[in-house]
Amino acid sequence: MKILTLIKLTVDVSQLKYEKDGSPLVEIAPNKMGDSDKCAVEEAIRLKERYGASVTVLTVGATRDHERIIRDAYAMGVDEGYIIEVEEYQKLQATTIGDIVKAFVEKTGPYDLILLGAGSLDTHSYTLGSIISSKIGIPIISSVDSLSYNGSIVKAESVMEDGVYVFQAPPPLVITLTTEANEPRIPTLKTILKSKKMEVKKLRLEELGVKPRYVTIEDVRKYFVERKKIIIDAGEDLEKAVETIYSILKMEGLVK
Amino acid sequence: MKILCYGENSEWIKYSRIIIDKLGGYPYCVTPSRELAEESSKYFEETYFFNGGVYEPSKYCRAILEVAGRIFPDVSLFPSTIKGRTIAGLYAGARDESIITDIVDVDHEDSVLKLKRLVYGGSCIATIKSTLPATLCITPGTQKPPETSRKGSIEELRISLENRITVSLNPRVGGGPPLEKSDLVVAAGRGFKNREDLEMVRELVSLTVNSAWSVTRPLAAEYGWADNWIGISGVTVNPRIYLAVGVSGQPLHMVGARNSKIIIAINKDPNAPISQEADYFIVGDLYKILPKLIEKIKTTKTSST
Ligand SMILES: Cc1cc2nc3c(=O)[nH]c(=O)nc-3n(C[C@H](O)[C@H](O)[C@H](O)COP(=O)(O)OP(=O)(O)OC[C@H]3O[C@@H](n4cnc5c(N)ncnc54)[C@H](O)[C@@H]3O)c2cc1C
Ligand SMILES: Nc1ncnc2c1ncn2[C@@H]1O[C@H](COP(=O)(O)O)[C@@H](O)[C@H]1O
Repeated sequence: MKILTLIKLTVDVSQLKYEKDGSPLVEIAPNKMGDSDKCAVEEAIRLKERYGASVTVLTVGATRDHERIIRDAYAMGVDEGYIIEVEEYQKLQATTIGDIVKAFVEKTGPYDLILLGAGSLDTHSYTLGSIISSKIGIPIISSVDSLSYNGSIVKAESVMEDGVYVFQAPPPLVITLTTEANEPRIPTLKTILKSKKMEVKKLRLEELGVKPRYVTIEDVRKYFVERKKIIIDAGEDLEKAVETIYSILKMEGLVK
Repeated sequence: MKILCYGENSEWIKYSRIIIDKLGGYPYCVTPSRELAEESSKYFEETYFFNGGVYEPSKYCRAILEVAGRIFPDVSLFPSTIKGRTIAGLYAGARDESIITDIVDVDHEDSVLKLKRLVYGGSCIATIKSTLPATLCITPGTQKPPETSRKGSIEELRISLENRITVSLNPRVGGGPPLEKSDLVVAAGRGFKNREDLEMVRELVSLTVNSAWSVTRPLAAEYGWADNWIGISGVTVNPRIYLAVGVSGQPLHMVGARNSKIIIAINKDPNAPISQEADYFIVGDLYKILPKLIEKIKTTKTSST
């Protein structure tokens, strides 16, 4: 079995700081492999351990941190890793990343499974999996919270607004995973040391014959609505706390 | 401008009409059932439907692409839900056009779209420009267009919808009343320890005017305690009062609540992020505060009648 896993270098949103005017200081925010991508890598390694598979990872970007997340994937057990070098990777349109993956698959594939994160938390689109699916012509199962494979059929559960969906199909498939899918392993010192010696392969867009399209971003601002921030400690004065909520409801005419 | 909308459910069909009016264009809708087509025909000039059965994205996408192949839309609208995004990605991939998700506001100058979208997990809003044609996934809101007596045309699509993926659905049962047009929305978070404890929320809703309740995503998606949730992957509401109980206030949740006029939060952790986003931040145990509040409303009611 051949598995391709996509990983994205993602801004750690919880550590984002802001300029006075509310623009985010993205350049100085810490970066990491996307949380759901890590689950995709973990799922690929589990399939490799159980059924034997070669696992390739791919990331699109051009910084040293991209090399770092490829090595993080090596340390988890991935066999080979590629960086597709694009300077302005953060502004790429999702459809261009789809074109890149398609060209890469034509060069190195075919793959039985393409695993990726359901969505990244920074400049997410939550749609790359299905874009790839239609570009390559392999069916998709998206937003998977739990995955199993019996050697011939993939069974995947996805929790949605109206209930739990269970999808079943044989490979080839594109599958996007949520952070519920598994607990990614922590690499051991031994695998970390080994990962440092492995080669990270690089390809340029021209080598893949892909013309990039970019998003035109005019402005990015902190999304925040100023509030009164009146604090009432109910531990000190429960009556006052209850009275406050009650009087607001009453003032707005919402108490029957 | 021709606008094609995927009519996933009846709340979204209504809300999408508001977006379409903002963009100004001739509206078409594709729905996965005859029932939804009836609903859509009240708001859309032309509706196409297919008997989709249980959701499967490639099957649904084929039907929508069929209509797109006939009408050549400039803008295609999908709700930014799990299903909506998945179908939209297939659709934009097949048409090789740009796709933008998590859109909270739309505008256009001539044939350039100006869109506001959420980024960085709901912490920021980005303003971006896009040329046409484009596929847009809009964060569903709860506003409704005015009722009309319009009756648009309805046509059934007769296309083969077989697919390689088999799918079954275990539907979720029981949740709160609909959130649309509520003046008070009570949102319950993981501060609630048991499903039965939500009874307090239901009672509060029954004692107040034009109110509804919902939850944070873990309570709905993980525990199955409600049908809908508020936030980036759920519903956006705009009530007069938003009462968040046992909710920490992660941006992914708060983006669904920031349009509220007044935000009141009950949380036992004085440093919970929601302390920064509330007008009234009540520090304390919900298990002590809610029963007292309910009692207060009940006694005041009986004494005044
Ligand atoms: C891709 C993605 C999409 C997401 N989309 C959404 C979304 O649309 N909507 C959403 O809500 N979440 C969403 N989330 C999850 C989100 O990040 C948070 O995990 C979630 O909102 C937290 O829910 P919570 O506040 O109920 O729970 P917690 O963060 O666990 O907070 C519980 C709070 O309750 C308080 N508490 C505990 N006991 C009591 C008590 N007795 N009395 C008073 N207070 C108490 C605690 O102090 C705490 O602040 C998403 C996550 C991901 C990864
Ligand atoms: N630049 C990228 N390089 C590699 N994989 C990516 C990239 N962007 C997105 N992906 C993959 O697509 C998933 C969904 O990302 P997004 O479309 O940003 O929500 C991510 O979790 C990754 O698995």
